[in-house]
Amino acid sequence: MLVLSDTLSISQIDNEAVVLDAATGKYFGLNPTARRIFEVLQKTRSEEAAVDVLAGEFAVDRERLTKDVAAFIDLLLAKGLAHRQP
Amino acid sequence: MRRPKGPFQHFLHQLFSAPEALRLWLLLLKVDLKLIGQSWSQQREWILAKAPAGIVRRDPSAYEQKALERWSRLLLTVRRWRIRRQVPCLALALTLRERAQKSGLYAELTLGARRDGSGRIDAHAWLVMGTFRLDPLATAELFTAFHKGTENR
Repeated sequence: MLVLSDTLSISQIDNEAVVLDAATGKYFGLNPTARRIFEVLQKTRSEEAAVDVLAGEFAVDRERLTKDVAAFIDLLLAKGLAHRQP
Repeated sequence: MRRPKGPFQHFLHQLFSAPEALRLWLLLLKVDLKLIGQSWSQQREWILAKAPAGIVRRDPSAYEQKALERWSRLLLTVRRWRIRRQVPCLALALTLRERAQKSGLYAELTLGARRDGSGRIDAHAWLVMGTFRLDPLATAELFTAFHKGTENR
């Protein structure tokens, strides 16, 4: 299970978003696609479930979508914005 | 707030404001030094502190609102005697929050973001007490507040 850090706050600016990590005081900009992936991950807490939801929203093949979601999750993990829970 | 009209009233106004201005300047100095001297992780709890349990989130009364606005104006005046090139909005908001707390008023710090003209992300800090917004720099309406979850407030 993917757990987004509870220190995160979000500010929505038009279609984009800015995520503030209260643990580090750093903030990150999310483009519209990243913002949507972030929102879906917040709800589903699972990479596979997120891909299922997003597949119905984006006109891209599933393989590409899976790669993009995985890359986004890797970024969240690398920045300490999320962690995996068994 | 009504401004003093004549030079004598202006002098009286300045005279009576001086102790409060000095108090605010010292508070601003203390807050700014803390922001400069400590890391985010050391300051996090203090910066993001919520009002103590049992404190009801309410709008300030007309009298309290006047006091808050007066401190805000004075803070803009005293920030001229600063220790660094620019006093960040966070220092102003935290100073105002500390000052308000000393009078038993609990305003909450709000952080917001926007994209500036060049497309960069810009952040801002201001205070909120109930539905009353207190922002010495008066730019809060240009920013969208950060909040937990995905819905905007």
